[in-house]
Amino acid sequence: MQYNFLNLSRMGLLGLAALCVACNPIEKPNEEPTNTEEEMPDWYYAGGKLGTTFLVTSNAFEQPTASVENANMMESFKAGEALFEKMFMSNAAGTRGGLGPVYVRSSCIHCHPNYGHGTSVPEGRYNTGEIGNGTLLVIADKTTDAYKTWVAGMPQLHAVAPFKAPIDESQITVTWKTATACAASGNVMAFPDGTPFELRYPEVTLPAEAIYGHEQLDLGDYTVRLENTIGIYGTGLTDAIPEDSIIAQWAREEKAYQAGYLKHWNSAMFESGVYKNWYTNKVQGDGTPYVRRYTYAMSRGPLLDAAGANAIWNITNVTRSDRRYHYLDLAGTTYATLSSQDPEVQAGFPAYIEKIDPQHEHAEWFTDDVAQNIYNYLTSKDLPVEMTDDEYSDLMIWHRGLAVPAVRGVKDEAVKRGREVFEQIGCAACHRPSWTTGSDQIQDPNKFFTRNNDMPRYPYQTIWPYTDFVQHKLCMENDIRTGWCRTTPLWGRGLHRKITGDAYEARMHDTRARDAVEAIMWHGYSEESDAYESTVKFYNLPKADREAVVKFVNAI
Amino acid sequence: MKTLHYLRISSFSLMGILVGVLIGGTIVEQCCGHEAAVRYCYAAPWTIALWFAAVMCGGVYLWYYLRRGVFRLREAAVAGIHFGFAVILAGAMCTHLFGEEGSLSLRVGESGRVTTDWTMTLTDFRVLYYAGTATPEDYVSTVRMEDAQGSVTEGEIAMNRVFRYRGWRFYQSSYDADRGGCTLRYTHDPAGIGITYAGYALLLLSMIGYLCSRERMDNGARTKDNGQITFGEQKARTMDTSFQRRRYLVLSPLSLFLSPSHLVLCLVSLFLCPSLMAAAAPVPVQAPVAESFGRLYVEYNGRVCPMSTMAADVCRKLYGKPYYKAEDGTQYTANQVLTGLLFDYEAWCDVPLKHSRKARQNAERETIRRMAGNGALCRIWQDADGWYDINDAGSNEVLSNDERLFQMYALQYVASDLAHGNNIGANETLKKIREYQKQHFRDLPGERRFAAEQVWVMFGYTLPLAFVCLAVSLLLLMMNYELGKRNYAFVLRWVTTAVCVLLWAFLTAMLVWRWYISGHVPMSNGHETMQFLAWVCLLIASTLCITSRRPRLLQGRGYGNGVLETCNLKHETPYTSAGCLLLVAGMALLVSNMSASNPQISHLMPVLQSPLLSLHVSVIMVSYALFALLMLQSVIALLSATKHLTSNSVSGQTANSASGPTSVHMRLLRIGVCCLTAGIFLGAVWANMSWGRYWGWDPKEVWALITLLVYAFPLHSRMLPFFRRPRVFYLYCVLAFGAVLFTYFGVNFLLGGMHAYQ
Repeated sequence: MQYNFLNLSRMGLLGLAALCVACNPIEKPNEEPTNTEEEMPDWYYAGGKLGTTFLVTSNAFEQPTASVENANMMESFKAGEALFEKMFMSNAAGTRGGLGPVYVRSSCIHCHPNYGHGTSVPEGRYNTGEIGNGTLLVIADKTTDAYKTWVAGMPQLHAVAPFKAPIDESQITVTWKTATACAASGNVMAFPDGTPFELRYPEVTLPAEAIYGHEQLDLGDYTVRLENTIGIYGTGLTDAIPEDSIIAQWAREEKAYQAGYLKHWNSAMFESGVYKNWYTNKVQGDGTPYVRRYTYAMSRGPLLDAAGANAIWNITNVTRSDRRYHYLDLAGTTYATLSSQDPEVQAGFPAYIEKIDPQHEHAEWFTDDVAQNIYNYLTSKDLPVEMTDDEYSDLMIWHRGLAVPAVRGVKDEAVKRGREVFEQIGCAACHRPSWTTGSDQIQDPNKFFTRNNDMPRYPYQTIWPYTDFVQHKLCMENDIRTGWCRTTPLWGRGLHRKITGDAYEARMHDTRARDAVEAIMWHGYSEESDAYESTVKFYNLPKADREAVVKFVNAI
Repeated sequence: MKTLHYLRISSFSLMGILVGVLIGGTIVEQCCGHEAAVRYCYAAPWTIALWFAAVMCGGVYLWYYLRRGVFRLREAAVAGIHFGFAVILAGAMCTHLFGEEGSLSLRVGESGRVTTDWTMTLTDFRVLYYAGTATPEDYVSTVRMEDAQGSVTEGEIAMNRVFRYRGWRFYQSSYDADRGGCTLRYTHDPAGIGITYAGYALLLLSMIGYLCSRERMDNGARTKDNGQITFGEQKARTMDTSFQRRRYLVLSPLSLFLSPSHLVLCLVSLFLCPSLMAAAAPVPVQAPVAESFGRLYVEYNGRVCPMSTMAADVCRKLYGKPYYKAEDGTQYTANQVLTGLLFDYEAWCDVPLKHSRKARQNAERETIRRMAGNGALCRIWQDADGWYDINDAGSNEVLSNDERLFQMYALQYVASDLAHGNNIGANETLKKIREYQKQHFRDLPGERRFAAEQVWVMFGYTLPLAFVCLAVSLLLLMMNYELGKRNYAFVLRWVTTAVCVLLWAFLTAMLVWRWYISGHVPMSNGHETMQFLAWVCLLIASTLCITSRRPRLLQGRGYGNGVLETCNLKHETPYTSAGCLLLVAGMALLVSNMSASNPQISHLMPVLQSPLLSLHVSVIMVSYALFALLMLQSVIALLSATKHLTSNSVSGQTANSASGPTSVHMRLLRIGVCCLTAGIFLGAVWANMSWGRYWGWDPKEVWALITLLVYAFPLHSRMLPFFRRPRVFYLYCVLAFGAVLFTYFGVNFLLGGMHAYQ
């Protein structure tokens, strides 16, 4: 008995000891939370009060702005979202039909994973079938830098049978090369404190055999570059910036150029205080001039006739009421001619066209000359409409309704310090932090949308895109075509990896920079770069400040 | 007799030479590559001749040797073990002679063939990466097989996923730099595998028989005086050594490092050191808000559970514990960590993750952190098709508009409120989300089970228990001789019993709790299997402790000794066996927590979750632990009794002399070798299942085999009399531990890195 008692007491005491070891911190569930309400600084609201979203998860770039809800457009927004996210099919009728005859991608999401920038291009095979590869091939003349006209400006790599892709992408390879020099660092690939950095750039190999009809065509000396998409979020907000604000920015920077702060100036755009290169649309619109604000090459004006409005037609070749023709080669008839003479296309065409036009409404596609039929079809200007006006309208409401994620870490000391240094070393001269929107009157060079209440609007918002909407030159190895590149907005770019799961941050126009440090150092790759001096200052920053700048760039 | 002598000498020398060959092989591999090592060392004709000669000599010698005595279970087991090895070698020979092996490099779209029976076409090849990293996660080849008759089979080959086709096995080997093709390895070896597996089975059965059988005290040649020791003698002997050691401990400055408790502390701190890193502290979400978040329902690992369960798993995976403690002492609960990751991701990215030497594990951690931050883990919404994460909220066209908006905006409001310091508002919204879940979703666990699981999350953390087990077991095993002193023994007995019983009771409660929460027997994965193993060990240990009344008993009549006798674990005291059992339990708990800190959040490496792997790892760890113990005891014995040993050898005393290898040492050795053997062959079976080969001459494999052979020599002390000399035995045990260290660390640092792809 005594023995048993002893055993029991042993257990009890040791039990307590074991519990202490095994215990974890326990929360007190009954405690009530308390408020610590504080004002957030202006720059926290990247998209202003109307255009900022606060939950930064994978779909942070996919959120509607408050204006969408305010304008009761949530249903349209959601319908537009589905058009953006889902695949288009080659069937002639039905939702999201009409893909082809040739196309760049079968959906928007292919290039804009989670609505952001495309992911970094891997070494080796170039694969546009992968969701996330957001790069386009830019095929230009080796000497003049002009687009080659035997393909489209955005070359198609896919086709619906019996047609053949203008370029066989399986023969394309991407090689990543390491830059051996960088002017801003005195050609030392390390910071003064010893931290190394590496710069790499892509080289694309496109053998002539990969080009459809290379036997017949005079290809000339061509070079191939990559151009990546950028995020779609916040484009509605930048569309609301008044034109005179942008013109004033051009004027300010022209003075900076004259004072020697900038080394290059695109006088084709702006000269002697005068904005020259207005955007006009005389095909669908009436030729009204607008200030340019979108794409690297500054090829587009207001959002409703900008990259997105164009891409939904030309990437998929899905026609709509004001674009009843195909997007083919720049020359206009090269692809149509090649296809019409291709016996395999000729063999498959009758079955194909039967599906496109079962009622034989277009007699010119059904003549006895099959080659002529093919040519007529491809160059036709009155193709059947594949996307309804309502669908297009939904898409554009969605496009203009995308919010920007709030800035992270605004109370973090390093981020605050980074913000100061960012201004001090001159980054903010081109990556202009904030803009104020105007009354936001809807403008559409297409003249498709005419009324203000067609769209969600953002009047009088202070937004923080970190761009000047002006073109500059960085003079990098394998640079962007022409070298002129619009300052890219930095907002939301720090979220790329978290949101898309990409291995790298994939910064710069061809995803060459794996992180912000590489991106910044590319700005100083050449002494000729407009950003050379700022990059030198960045290079010579103390380590903590340098890291603070990077942290800030990733936070905004 | 002369022949027998030569047979004995030659078989052991041959084995010694083979160990040398194996060591040489790993060096050759390091210098000239794997292929060269296999061709000129491992599978060279002269190596095969050596193996053959060794098997022949050993076989004949064993035959004569065993024939001399009485043939009982013990002898049968010994014969079985040796014969099992011979069969395995025969299987290997068969594989070598008749097995076909090679590689097939194919580009996508290309066809190739090895025999006329089939043609293989590579239809696709993909490299999958861990999300957000450049670390490859998997390599997947899709192939089409066409046989002579023209019938077509499709197949997929990935890492750890062998493709079998008519006796041929294919697995990934490497891929072309442009990802446009890959190299597949193929093997064809139906007979060899069968024979080898038969050998494994025989070996395993014989080992069980060996451990369960009674040891013959003498080998017939020995005199009865030496063989049978009286109780009094044994006691005197024990007292004698312990006295000698204690004197040494007082004298030597080294004693600080050699005192058992210090050693235990050192070992424990070795285990703990990776978790000592910490850094900057993010501002935590207020505890009550985090708690409300933890009370949401979430679908995780294929079942609905409280968010706090997932939070604990994520936290353990990322930071090693189910909570996080910053450098400045701030402590974050798992719920605060998860809410931090979701609502303040960037700040948490500055917090260093637990670091492993393996890039793959670090990549996995980064992926899980990203998934926690980007909401992919937050599967809190449900529709008719099942659960989905917060990123899909609002895209669901089946829901009513109101519900869609609620799902879209609920967490947005929480995020916005938290950013603006409106914690009360955030808390209210979280409570509303839970209410919404309860009203609208199907098949939620009841409130009672939900609460039970939340308690589980707080208490169901067994890593500290593992350390308690290990500490107590080492203490017990180190104190083997100290039991002579009465009051010391009392404390030890007290501690052991209590620890065993309490840990067992605690584990029992946990198993039952887990059963209640999960609704199925808690034996479904590696983690649960290992916990169960620990439970069994603790049950036996507790039974031993409670039923034995006299700690120093040699021929006690307690029930415990009955149990012990059947396991042949009857030592000087049942506490030694309790020590061994605690060691196994501790290792099992440790391994179970290793697999738990590797939760199946994203199903990253399904094959690594296999219970076979857990078993393989823990069995080998037990053997290494036993070898470590043997080494420590040998060091102590060597240091403490130097003088004594010298005098012994001078006076020509051998074998059973007072401080010779005691039966405890021999038992540790025996159990260790058996565990290692079982572990190696479990590993081989696992490798065969996942990689298509049971033995690949990987440096780690070879060194495990070397360790096994090295430790097998002293087991044969009857044939190798010099092992009966205490100093030789102890010295050998110390030196042999070098092989363990090299297998465990050296291979990774010096030889590893060559088979990263494997």
